[in-house]
Amino acid sequence: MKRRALLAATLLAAPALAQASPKLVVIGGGFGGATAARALHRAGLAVTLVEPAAEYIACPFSNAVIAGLRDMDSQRFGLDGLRREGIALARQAATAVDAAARRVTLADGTALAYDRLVMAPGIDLRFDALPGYDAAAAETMPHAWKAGAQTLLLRRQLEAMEDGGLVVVAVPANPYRCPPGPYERASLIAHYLKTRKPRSKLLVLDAKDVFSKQKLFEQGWAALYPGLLEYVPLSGGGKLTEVDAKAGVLVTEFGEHRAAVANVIPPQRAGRIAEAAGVTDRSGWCPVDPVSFESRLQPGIHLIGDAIIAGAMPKSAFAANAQARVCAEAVLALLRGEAPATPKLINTCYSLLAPDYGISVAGVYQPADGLLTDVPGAGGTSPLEAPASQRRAEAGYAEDWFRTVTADAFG
Amino acid sequence: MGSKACGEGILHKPLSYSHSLMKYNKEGRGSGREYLSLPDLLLILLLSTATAATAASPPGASSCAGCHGGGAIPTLAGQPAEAVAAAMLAYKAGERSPTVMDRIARGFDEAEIRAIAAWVTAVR
Ligand SMILES: Cc1cc2nc3c(=O)[nH]c(=O)nc-3n(C[C@H](O)[C@H](O)[C@H](O)COP(=O)(O)OP(=O)(O)OC[C@H]3O[C@@H](n4cnc5c(N)ncnc54)[C@H](O)[C@@H]3O)c2cc1C
Repeated sequence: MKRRALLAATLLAAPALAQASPKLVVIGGGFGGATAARALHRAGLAVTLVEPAAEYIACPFSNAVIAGLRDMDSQRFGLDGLRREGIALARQAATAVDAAARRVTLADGTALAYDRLVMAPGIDLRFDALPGYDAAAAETMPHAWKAGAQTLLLRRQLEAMEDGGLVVVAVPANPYRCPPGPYERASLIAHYLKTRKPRSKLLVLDAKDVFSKQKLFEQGWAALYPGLLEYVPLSGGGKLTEVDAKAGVLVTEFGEHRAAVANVIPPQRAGRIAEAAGVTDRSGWCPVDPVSFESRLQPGIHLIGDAIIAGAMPKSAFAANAQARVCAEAVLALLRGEAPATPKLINTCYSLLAPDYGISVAGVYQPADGLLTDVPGAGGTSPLEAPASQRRAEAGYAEDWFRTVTADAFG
Repeated sequence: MGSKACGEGILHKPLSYSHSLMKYNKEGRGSGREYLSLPDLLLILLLSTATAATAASPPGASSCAGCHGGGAIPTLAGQPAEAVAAAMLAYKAGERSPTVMDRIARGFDEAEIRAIAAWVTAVR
């Protein structure tokens, strides 16, 4: 009764209060945030996107940039398309989120009130996790795990290296952004060395024993880069315990390696603003409800992309894009006063072993036991036995996916 | 078929997780309030007009746009829904030369596939 009376009052008052449209704020203009902002805006809502970077530099295909196979300009995407569509852009960093007051504070002190907030801040690198590896060390031993200056630094180091040098790619334990990414990188660096500096060697030091698409990578490495690429798993002494960036030394549990070029991919956590907002747990990542992508720690805040604990769904651009659309629909449902529908989500990740040699892993996910879990019977990798034409086709699909997903996110 | 997608040790779980799902009350919010506030009702009213054109998508359907946009991966909007459903059912049954679509189609039953096909082929 009370609700009906209120509804009647609202109906009468509505025309005078048309500006009371719900306020949506999105933090982060990467694959997740840009897609979410567009989806919410297309549904007719007023959206403000907070992103300090003048341009977004995409990580997918940045391994091809490192290997000299692709131009950095193909990785750059502006947010002007979103602005032209009518999404308000706040071109600065969010510095604080007050979940109780539903307010975001920006670097210049401006406060943005919201009814619902979507956060897609991606990752931050942990410069406290590996002794000797901090932001300064990354200028000598690049991580290149956020695309941009680091990507070009690693490329220049490879170009400057004399033939016969030792290149090391060091890979962290799970979880981290893009599970197959380090192995694609190793493959494409090996391709560069094979074609340009064939007396060189590549060592992959891994802090784990099993990894994404492992059989396919190992099969491809044996065929394409025998004697050039050596993989050292955790059990073989692959885990880094310390680095000395000045001396170019990487220390593992089993010994030391002196590298001409060292690519150290350190452990990671959710982008720093997530911690400031109180949406990270002790692990440094963000627990969310797998139906609504709402934080388990702070109501009114939704999280998507690399920052979240997504169970079986990997930290990929594909996943961030898919989660953004599901999250946007959930936000719309919640604003309408409805419970969000139970979703299914898809992920596909392509990796290149060489310019014309692609492999893939796909999965379908659904909420179960509070996490996103694999739908039984679905998903899996490209077949181990496949003709060269299929590897070539998958390399082409990878390009088509990148073109489509970047157009979908950035217009 | 190669080994399972993400069973390869990448499962990202919380350190400790209480199995209580976020509870939505009948207003669909996690706040546990009993009645809708006036601002809530205003939001609902405005949204019911703002989003009338954007019906909720069936499970899985919203993921398709990440890939399907041209090149070797066909755009779906404007295609006959029946043909898209038939293609997905053939992938699911292993009767069509595999891409990633065989692996994806097996994650859906026939009713889900028909609902997805109807949604993704609609021109918005
Ligand atoms: C080498 C490499 C290769 C990869 N290859 C693939 C691939 O082939 N396929 C694939 O699907 N994925 C790939 N990935 C993974 C992909 O890049 C990420 O999963 C994806 O970028 C995640 O999107 P996101 O929106 O969560 O975060 P991001 O894309 O990192 O976006 C986060 C955004 O938030 C902004 N931000 C952060 N903090 C704030 C703040 N306080 N205020 C405002 N804005 C803020 C940042 O500036 C950034 O623009 C690859 C990654 C790497 C490193």
